[in-house]
Amino acid sequence: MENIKSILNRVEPISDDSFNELSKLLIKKTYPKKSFLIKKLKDFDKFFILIDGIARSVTIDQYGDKNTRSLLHQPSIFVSLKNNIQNQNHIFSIEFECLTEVTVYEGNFKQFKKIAANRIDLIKLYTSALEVNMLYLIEKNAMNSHLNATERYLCLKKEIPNIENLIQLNQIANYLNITPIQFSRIRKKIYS
Amino acid sequence: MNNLRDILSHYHPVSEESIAKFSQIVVRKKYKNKTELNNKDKFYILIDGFARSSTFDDNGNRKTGNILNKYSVFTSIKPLSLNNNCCPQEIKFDCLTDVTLYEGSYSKFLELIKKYHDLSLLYNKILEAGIRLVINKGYMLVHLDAAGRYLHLKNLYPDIENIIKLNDIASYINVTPIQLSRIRKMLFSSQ
Repeated sequence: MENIKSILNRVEPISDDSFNELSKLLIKKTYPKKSFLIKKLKDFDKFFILIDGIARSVTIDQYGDKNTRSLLHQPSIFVSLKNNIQNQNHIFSIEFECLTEVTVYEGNFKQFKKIAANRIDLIKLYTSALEVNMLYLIEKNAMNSHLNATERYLCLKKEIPNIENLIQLNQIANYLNITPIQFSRIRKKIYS
Repeated sequence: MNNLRDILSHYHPVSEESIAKFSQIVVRKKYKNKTELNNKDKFYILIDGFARSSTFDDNGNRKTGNILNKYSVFTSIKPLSLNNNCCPQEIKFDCLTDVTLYEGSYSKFLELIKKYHDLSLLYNKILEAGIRLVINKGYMLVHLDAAGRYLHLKNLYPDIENIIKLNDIASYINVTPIQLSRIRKMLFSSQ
């Protein structure tokens, strides 16, 4: 539990009292590789604090094509705001999947909102987490439009240097929005 | 619905008192087309017209992030260096048409939300809406091809060509102006 506190403090310091309330909601769980953290409708009430392993959030369009939106590694806090987003005539759904064995603290988001309703520091925690996530997403979008595939790969390597040892290469390619073949050519060029 | 209350309650219902406090920190302003909106400690609520957010990389290349329409709330969140700063991080806002908006001090707003609980819930809702907008843009960039992205934008704003320049449209859907012109030729001459 102590490490949870330090993760949360990094986002926004909260009082001991609020932390106690919050920790009552949390259960520590370990999910095996390839299992889903958020997939079925009932999962959309959950929020997670990831403390070990790598998970990813995926958008899936109506043809079943998947794209890795973010790679989540510790420490990260995430929740799904909605199970599917209708973007005019495009409907896409969102899933969270474990790429390695993942250890998380899991809680019910509705209950969190309930206890946060009269605790200003918990609201601020949620606000800060939203801000951080928003910046992260803006950055991912900017990355996709400003940088070429090689630069995106180098960016990822800076963020998680040993990424190749952690997850499959085709999952990395999917995150970079290139084909596995393109990805292998990029790596050849850099490393040979 | 141009008054503040209606726009805010579109996101989250707030009390009369909070609205009164909130309206003290904003002023209604008009800006001309192409004006760059001051990025220091300001937030904006768009009432009329179009604005956009853009990112810049080290070489000065501009890419349009999002097109902001009526009732969008936006602010300059400070550039964060999450990816070790290898990514373009300057974000600027400028007007694509003549705009009318409410302008306020962001730090004063942050002061207010400490005191007024419903305003901080409002802020959360606005952030959630913003995240949804950014996720949508991300989805569009990776799942759709260039023609698909153009059609997507056309669906959103059918008369987009009359509102903003083609160059800006190309930048938003992340293609070159030449590519866009080919896409438009292909789409509109086959009809």
